[in-house]
Amino acid sequence: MLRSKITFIVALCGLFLALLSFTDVKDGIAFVVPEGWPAPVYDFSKNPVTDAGFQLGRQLFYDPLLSRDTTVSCASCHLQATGFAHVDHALSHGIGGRVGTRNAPAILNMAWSKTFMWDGGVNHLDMQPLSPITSAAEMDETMENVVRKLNASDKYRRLFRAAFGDSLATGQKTLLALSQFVLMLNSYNSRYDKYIRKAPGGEFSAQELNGLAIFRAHCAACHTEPLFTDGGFGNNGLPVDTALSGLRAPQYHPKPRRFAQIQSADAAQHPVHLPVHARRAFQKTVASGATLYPGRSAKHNA
Amino acid sequence: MGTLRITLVPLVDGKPLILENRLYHIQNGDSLYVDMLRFYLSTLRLKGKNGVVFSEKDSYHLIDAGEDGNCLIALENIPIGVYDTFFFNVGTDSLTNVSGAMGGDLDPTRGMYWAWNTGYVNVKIEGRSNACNTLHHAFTFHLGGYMPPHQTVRKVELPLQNLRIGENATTDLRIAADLGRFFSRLQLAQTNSVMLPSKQAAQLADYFSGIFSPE
Repeated sequence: MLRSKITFIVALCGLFLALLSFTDVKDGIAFVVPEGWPAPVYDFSKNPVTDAGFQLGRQLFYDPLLSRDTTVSCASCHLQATGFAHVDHALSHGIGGRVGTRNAPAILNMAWSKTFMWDGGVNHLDMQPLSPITSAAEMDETMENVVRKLNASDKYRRLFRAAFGDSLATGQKTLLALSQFVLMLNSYNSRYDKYIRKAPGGEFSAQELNGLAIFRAHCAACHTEPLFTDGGFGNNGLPVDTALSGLRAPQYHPKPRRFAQIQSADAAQHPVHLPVHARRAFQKTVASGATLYPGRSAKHNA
Repeated sequence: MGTLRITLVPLVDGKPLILENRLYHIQNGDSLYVDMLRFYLSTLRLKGKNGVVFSEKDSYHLIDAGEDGNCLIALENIPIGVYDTFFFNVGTDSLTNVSGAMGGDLDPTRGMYWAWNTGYVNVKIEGRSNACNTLHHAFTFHLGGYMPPHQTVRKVELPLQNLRIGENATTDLRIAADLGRFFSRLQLAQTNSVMLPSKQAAQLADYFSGIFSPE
């Protein structure tokens, strides 16, 4: 009798769980390629975005535990309110008031990006968080210690079990979860996107339509729609700032870098607008080991 | 099916490698201490006389002379037979370097990953020598780089003396990794700090790939 009662309760719980998971799927996180957008670069088959993975990534993104002294999180510089960019600061700053050598770029439409960081030094979204975590001017922490701290936390052990079926945090799983969160920060509901989709709220005034025509004629060759970047690199035409050269670690930047990744229009909140030149010229220059000089090479200066 | 237990035996000029506390005198005149020796072996394969080839799946191994048990690799489910060649890569191939976050020995917490310019460090050799005009007389070789023209992964092919894999049996294979062969190719006074993908890193990777031989 007791046994059948238990069986009944177990079956009821099973039904409840099934309904619950159904609800989860219905309301859940899923990456969808917006209509009219190109195929993403990121390989989702290796790291499918799930509710639990996204939630874990979200917790990690906003958690200062990732920094050595637990004062700075990813969101300290990638501010949600300003499109995950760092406004009001020419250079982003890390723990203990240390000033970095770059302004944190906006995070959006990352699934379509082939390279990361201003100089394109990082080749995969999963590996990008290693740079701010380990940079002395930013979080000044090691991945080994991040993983130690995560494994010491009951909350994270629960979140890792929910996301990956195993409560043990590893470097790999930490990075995959951060990717799952970041991959969902997309711009496909801007007024521009609604205009393109002819959706309600996407009406452009005559002046805005003129602006779009001018943009398409003069800017869109590199700031390619709908992502407003071709993922290439441009010479901003400015001389090297010697104050900045003094700040940066020479072993990491053995040669002066004058190139920065072309950013989408939504991300153009950083203080310097970046003129661009053709990617081929950049590759040729890098391959030859020569340095490009503004005026001779920067398209906008010519 | 049988098992092959491979033991990497780190040496310096034929003498066992003891980290930090033993001074080695290399034939080229340099005297040195070795503080760290870590490297990846990947894509392990065995070729048999009858043409049988065994390839290990997901074949990545971080060898660390400073950690007990991290010089040992067990290859399992090898078809029985006699094998005469052992192939492996020193380092990680380019696909591994562009595939995002990996686990196990490739986990970025293993300290063999460059954050600021993506890619695995294939080989880390660190130590001290009075020949080095550096802080604490240190030499530091972090050999990595997967993009042309400075790739640092190296293929190695070692002949085996009729290695027999028996049914449900474990066969032992000892591979000497003699750092003397690496250090004798360079002068630490001139070459003591290589930590970027470069022509020099590629050359040192060539030297390093020559340190292996069946014991």
